[in-house]
Amino acid sequence: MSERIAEVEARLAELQRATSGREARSLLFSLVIVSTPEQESEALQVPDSLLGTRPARVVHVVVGGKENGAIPRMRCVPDQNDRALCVQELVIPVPPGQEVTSGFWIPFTLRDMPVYGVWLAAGTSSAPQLREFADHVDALLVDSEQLTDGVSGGACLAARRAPPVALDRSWLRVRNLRELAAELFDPPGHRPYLEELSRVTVGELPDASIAYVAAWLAVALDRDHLRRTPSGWQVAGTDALDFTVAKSADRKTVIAFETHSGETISAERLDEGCLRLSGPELDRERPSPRPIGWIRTVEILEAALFVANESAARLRLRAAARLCDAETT
Amino acid sequence: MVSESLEENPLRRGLDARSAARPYAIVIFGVTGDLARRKLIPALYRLFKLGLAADPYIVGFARRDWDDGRLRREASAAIAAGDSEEEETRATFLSRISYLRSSFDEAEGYRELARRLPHGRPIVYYLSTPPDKYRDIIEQLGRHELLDTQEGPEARVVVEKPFGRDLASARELNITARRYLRESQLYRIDHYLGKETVQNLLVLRFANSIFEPIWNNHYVDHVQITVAEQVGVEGRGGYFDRAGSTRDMIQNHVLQLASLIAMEPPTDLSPDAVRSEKAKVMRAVHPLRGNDARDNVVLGQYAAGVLGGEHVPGYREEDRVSPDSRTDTFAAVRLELAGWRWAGVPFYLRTGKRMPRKVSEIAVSFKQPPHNLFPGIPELQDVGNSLVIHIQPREGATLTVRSKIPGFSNATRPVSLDFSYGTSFAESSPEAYERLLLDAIVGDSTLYTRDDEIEHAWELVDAILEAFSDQEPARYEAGTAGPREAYELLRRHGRRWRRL
Repeated sequence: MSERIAEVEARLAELQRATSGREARSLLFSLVIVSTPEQESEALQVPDSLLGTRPARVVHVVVGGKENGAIPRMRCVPDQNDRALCVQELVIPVPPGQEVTSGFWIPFTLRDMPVYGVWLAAGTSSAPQLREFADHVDALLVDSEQLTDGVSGGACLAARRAPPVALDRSWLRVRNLRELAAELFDPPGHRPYLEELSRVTVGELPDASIAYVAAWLAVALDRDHLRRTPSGWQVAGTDALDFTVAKSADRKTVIAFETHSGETISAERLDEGCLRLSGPELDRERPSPRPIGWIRTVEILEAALFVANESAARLRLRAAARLCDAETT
Repeated sequence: MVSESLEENPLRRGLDARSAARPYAIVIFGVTGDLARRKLIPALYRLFKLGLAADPYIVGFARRDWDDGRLRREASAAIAAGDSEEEETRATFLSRISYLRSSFDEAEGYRELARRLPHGRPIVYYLSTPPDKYRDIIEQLGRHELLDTQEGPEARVVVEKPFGRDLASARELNITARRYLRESQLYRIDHYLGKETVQNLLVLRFANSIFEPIWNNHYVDHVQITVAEQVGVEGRGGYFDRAGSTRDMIQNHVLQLASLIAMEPPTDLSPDAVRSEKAKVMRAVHPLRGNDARDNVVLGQYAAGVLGGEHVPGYREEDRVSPDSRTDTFAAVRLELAGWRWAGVPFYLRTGKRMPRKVSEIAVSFKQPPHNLFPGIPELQDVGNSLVIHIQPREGATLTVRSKIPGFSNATRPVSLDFSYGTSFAESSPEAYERLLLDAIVGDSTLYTRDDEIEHAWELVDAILEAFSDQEPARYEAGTAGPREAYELLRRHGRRWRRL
């Protein structure tokens, strides 16, 4: 095994010299991506976002991959000084039916440098493979939309307070919606309606992210109870009115807050590039060129590299914990 | 600090105040000028594109005979060409721009502005005009109740440097502004404070535990701050000949950097906490008057020389510069600060035009170990530890330490521990103007300078210029690192400037 590792390392060094004409500049971290062969283009977005910015090693573990042996590759672009800035890439196939264990990829990570893990593999469960994976990385990005145990798997991982930092892409997809919802309640006259919500409907987001919307609202509005019901997520508090968070049946609605008094405060998509914000004290249009759940690839990477402020991190943990509790109790 | 009404919104918790796509309006006075084209419009577009300030209402206000179409064409040309996916984004942004033609003292222009501006948005008035227009504009805005903030979001006025040309004019301008504005509404921009490395100074000092214990006169030998330019006056001869390097650079950029290096830890990052600590540094500077100024300051002016292999003219031969001008194009200043932390530690400030290299950096030089055990290369023997914070062109920091030279002897030489933004972070740093404009939009004035900071800085600069009022500046050849006298300023204390 060690001979094989040495061979791969030698091949990577050779490739680096051939493509950049010099030895590798300091590589800053290893990024381990676990995906299926069908997810190749999605998985490649992550190393693509590193190109030209950060020299790193990407170890791409392909679950159910058919090739034999580790395949070294190199992607380089010129930097500002016209020197090659390279991402080393190593594809490691895991044969069909075999579990992803750390032995597949740990030997190929850079010693004493941070290791970031991105678990994209569709149709896998959060246990036990993903748990074992989490034990060996410094930060972990999962996507509960892809896990067989869904949002409970992703949220319970993301709620862990012990290292590694774990983030759920389903939560990251909610960020633009949170901005939009906050904008709807920036007019001071809208704030009292938050106390009398009856129903919140959300479009443009997958189910796991809608669950996170419910958890976020429960945390932001200090409601103690969150549970899944046939009509959606019920948010309740001891001295507060209950409300439900559900997928919108209307394709135009991005988010709508309905109140017990019959008011609606909403954001509606007029066309691909524009939103209408409306409510008792609001009626205007604003640009919003992309779907609300869109996240830039580099943001995923940043999230994996802990670029977040403290209050954002606290909120993320509380929302994930609330969702994990709701799904497991 | 975000305005109060937004902080009360529970749905804003955990969101970055700067990432909101909330609506705002900005009026750029002097929109036909160079600054708007090179910096302001591109910065506003980038904030729009990134979704950080995604709902703008932009009015360009100037005297030239332009219309909406002309301003949009100029703005389009100012925005760097993007890929085809960006076309729609660009078109949307440009559609948010309109032009208002008026002179700055004409009441009708402001009445028209009042009619156009949408209600319920924070409004930023950006004064990208010659400084002598500031007073007219602020007065007209005040008279037309465009600064009235009794209802709705706050209006803010951003003014470019120089804020006054001496202490008296700065005070006068502050008094005029206070008639119509609260201090919290006046944003005096110093674009150096928007640079990533400059902001990182606070992080470096106060988020790491290893620097603060040695950040004092027990360990620091001296501090050097350099802002060197390769360019000459670049068509600004008329302005520069009335200003000079001391007014143009030392009074603002360089003293701001010094105050960030020397300040005590603020209690929090609110605008007043940070700016109060910076103002205390300004108050602690020993004034330089008369002979004291002449002993501790060198003013210079470049003569013709060679730069990068090309002959360049002397300052007095530049366009719109008086042939017998005494204006300083170089200034080197030795400052001392009163107080326990910095007593006896000189701060050497240096700025100049037509220098061999464009460099902005802060170098903190530490004292030598009390006893030297290891032999070294003789000419490097006196090189102590230093922390150099590179502001431009390469943003980052370098810590110089001594290391053993491999081999059988114990000889040592300095080596560098290097940090560069380019290789350590995925995202490139935002342009200084992007950060500062966004701060003005969201109402955070931490990175803008306060009235007392400005006035203390002018007090220092006025005294220096008074002391040199009857002196010829020392001459230095273009392409060199300044006059010989500047080297003497350090050499007499056994120190030397860092090589440019």
